Amino acid sequence: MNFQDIYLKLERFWAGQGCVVQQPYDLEVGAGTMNPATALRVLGPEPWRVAYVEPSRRPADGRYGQNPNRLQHYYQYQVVIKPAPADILDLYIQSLISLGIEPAEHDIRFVEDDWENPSIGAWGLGWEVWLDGMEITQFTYFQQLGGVDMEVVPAELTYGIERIAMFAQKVDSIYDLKWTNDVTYGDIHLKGEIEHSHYNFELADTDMLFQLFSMYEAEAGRILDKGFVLPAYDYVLKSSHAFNLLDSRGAISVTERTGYIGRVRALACRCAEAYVKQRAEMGHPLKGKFEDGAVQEAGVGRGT
Amino acid sequence: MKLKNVVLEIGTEEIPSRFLPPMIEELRGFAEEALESARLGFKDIQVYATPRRLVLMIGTLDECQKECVELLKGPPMSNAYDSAGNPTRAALGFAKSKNVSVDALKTMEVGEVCYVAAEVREESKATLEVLPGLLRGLISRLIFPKNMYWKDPRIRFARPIRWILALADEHVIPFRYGDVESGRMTSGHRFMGQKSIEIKSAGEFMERLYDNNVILDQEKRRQKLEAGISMLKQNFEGALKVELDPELVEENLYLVEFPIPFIGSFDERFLEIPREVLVTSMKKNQKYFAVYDKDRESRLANYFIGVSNNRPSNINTIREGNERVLQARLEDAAFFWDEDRKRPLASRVEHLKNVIYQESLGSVYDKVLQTQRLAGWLCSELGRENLVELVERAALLSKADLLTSMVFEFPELQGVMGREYALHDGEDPRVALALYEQYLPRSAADTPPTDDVGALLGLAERVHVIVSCHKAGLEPTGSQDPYALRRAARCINEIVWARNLDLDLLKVVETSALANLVEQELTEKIIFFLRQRLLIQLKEKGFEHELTLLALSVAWPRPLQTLRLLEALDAVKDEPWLQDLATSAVRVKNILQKAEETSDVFNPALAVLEAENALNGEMERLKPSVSDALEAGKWQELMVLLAELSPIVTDFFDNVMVMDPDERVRNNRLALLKRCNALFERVGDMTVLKSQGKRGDE
Repeated sequence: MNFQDIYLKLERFWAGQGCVVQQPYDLEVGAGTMNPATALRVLGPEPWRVAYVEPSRRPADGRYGQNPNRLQHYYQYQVVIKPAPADILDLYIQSLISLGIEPAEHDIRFVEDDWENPSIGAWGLGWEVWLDGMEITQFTYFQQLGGVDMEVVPAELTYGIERIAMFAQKVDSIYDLKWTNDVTYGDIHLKGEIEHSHYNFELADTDMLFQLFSMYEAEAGRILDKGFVLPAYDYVLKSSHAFNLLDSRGAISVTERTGYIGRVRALACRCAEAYVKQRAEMGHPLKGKFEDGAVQEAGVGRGT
Repeated sequence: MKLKNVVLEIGTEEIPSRFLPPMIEELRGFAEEALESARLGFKDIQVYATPRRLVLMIGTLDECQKECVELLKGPPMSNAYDSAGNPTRAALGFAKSKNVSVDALKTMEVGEVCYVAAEVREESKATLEVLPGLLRGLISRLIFPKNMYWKDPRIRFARPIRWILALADEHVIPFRYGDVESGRMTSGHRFMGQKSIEIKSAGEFMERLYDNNVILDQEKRRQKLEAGISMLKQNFEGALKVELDPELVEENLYLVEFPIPFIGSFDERFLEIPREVLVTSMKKNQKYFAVYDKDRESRLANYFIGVSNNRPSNINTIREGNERVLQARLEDAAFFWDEDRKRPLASRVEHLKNVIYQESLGSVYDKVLQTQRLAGWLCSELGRENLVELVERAALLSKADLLTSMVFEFPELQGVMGREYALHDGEDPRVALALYEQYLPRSAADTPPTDDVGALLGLAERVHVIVSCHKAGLEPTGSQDPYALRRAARCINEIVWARNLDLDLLKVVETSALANLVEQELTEKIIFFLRQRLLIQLKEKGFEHELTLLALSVAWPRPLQTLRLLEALDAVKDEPWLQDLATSAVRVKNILQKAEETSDVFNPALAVLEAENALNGEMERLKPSVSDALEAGKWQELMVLLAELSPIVTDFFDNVMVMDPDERVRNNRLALLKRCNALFERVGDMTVLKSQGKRGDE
């Protein structure tokens, strides 16, 4: 199974579950959660089902292409189902079957792993999913985002698709993954990992980044003041990425770190609040949707 | 007729394993409480837990509630009836409030007074009627360290509840909890059992689960896990040894419903990495058991034992998958091990300036320097001048491993990595050892440092932490002790005792307080805190309260001397002479308190009785030896001296009437007692031995 088969199959599977198959966001994000298709859509009472690949940037995780498992740019496959149906874990297991992973032949486990992201004021409870000891998915029931309690609790599934591919192809290095029959992951990304590692750790202009951070922050605030949520949120994402770069450059001391994270969070919280208000003013247009494709709740022990 | 079996099963998505063992006890306690207050007799209660279910089983339960007749007190008779014998408004009101007719009121006597009383009969309901509310109430009482909601924000649990089975023999106990209706359906093992299983009668519940590959009873799972591991070892003809880390066994037990241990291996080259790193990586990341070489006790073998929750047609699939994961993990560890060693520890110290120790207390670097200064002072204070260089070097390097990648990845390896990297850097082996031993003892059962370098460093750091945290207002309050200062105080005493270091807590705290610019008032508070901790710790060792107070009154602020004196006292505590001496001490004190101010000049010429001169003579004779014993901390000798003194004092009181009518004789005797008291006070306030019941010092 080639790398691209994994996300193609997941797209198909989740489309079959009534998900909107979206595309990655066009800004740098640290994780699929930051994409407004998750970060904002989970707020409020409206139902939502979405699936998308998200290229995710973690500047500090770069290893100059030398570590077979760690990259500063990788892919997440993100699924959000809101509200979380009672059989969501069964659905997830079916998605693995669609990838050719037969649960009876493996050891699939749900091991406690609670998630939080302080820079967007979010937390949830859930698991890391183990496949024969390897973490392949992060599963979270959101409880709060942007400091706002979930009105309807969604389930977020984040597949580590490189991990799954390495498992399926039995290779020890990400770079050896076959993306297609004759093109490897390394062909596509190795040079970028090397260059970006140099940039993230050594070359990034910290004066410029500090300035950008402040400019992005100010712009987000200014746009929020005018009552526009989505453009403001873009600037939150930009400021967050600027912070991540500064952090990997070692330009932010441990003391200052909390302060910067707090500044990003304050903006994220304002966006969350404004978004909730905006959707209410719009009359929650998604209400009543996602009925057709939604899987019936057929929880264990309730079918009698 | 009794109900033979009652089962409540709360079916959930996978609950974190660490939550389950305490929850078993909690559910058991709640269930006992609830049944008792519902007046339902039962024979036994079992509670079981797996990641996907919490189960309460009640064996042999009464079919209905016990009858309850209660006599409730009303107004006094005198208020309840008027002179004509008619009930007053008070009586009528009382009867109405208890729902009985006024004619049915009874009487009861409390003390001398007679009251009217209402006999209230609590209805005896059938158990099947009581159970729905009772079981529902039980579930709502279960609160985990972390809880979530999934639908109704008022319904919270560790993870979503997906089904509830509630059966009393063959009857469903019907109730609703959140969005779940109770019933007779359960679910087997997630991958090896049926999804929907109908249970006809509570009695067959456990067996049906077992048929569906769920071993409900945690003890049975433990047996299966341990037996499985023994089998694996046999395959290696006893060449391997597995340490069944109890924490890891417990964790694995509650991670699976059906444990299937398997053995895997890893590349031998990883054995070059320090053992603790491998063990920690295996345990923490993958929940694997480490495997040791049978012949070379502490040498790791390149194997591991994992526990699967599933039995596939081919276990090799699972083994290979796990081996690949471990390979990557150890690759990481090897990378950190190599990278970290490229830079000496000493070169990292400078960077501790960027690590915050505590918001108001500056950086870890500042803390290191202050610890170093105090540790150096301790060396000379405790007569270990020859260690100054080693201790100061160890202090300087003490927190440098915080900045290594390995400790960043595995914080629990702090100290271990300090030792390993220091050895690699060619630091003195005693310095390296101290980097590890500074954290000993890590728990009550742990061993103390084996060398003074680590002991002195550990003492200095803990004193500094106690003083600086008090300064920052972070002292423990009630059950809160976020900076573990109580534990630090405990460790100080443990180290002092184990290493025979005659530390003066007063002096060391004052020295540290001076360096930390702590004011006098707070310094006294810290010293009081340490004294309290020592008192509590000594009592935990089993010493009597009064004896401990006595020892503290003499040997405080030296924990080493306090313990030794206490041991000496404890050895003689039942001797009659000690009891006599304490009685005498009380008498002396009482007499002196009542008497007017007297001189302490004893004039032998005014002594009328032999016992007076005998006491004076004996005191004069013993005084220098007592002083010597006190100063040198020769506590056994002191006991011998006091044993000699005791009968003389007793004899004095038996034969001498202190308050003689002749003022001169009387004052002379009081002077003698005053001298006596002065001696007593030097060997501690023995009157505390006679003041049982007064625990004002706690």
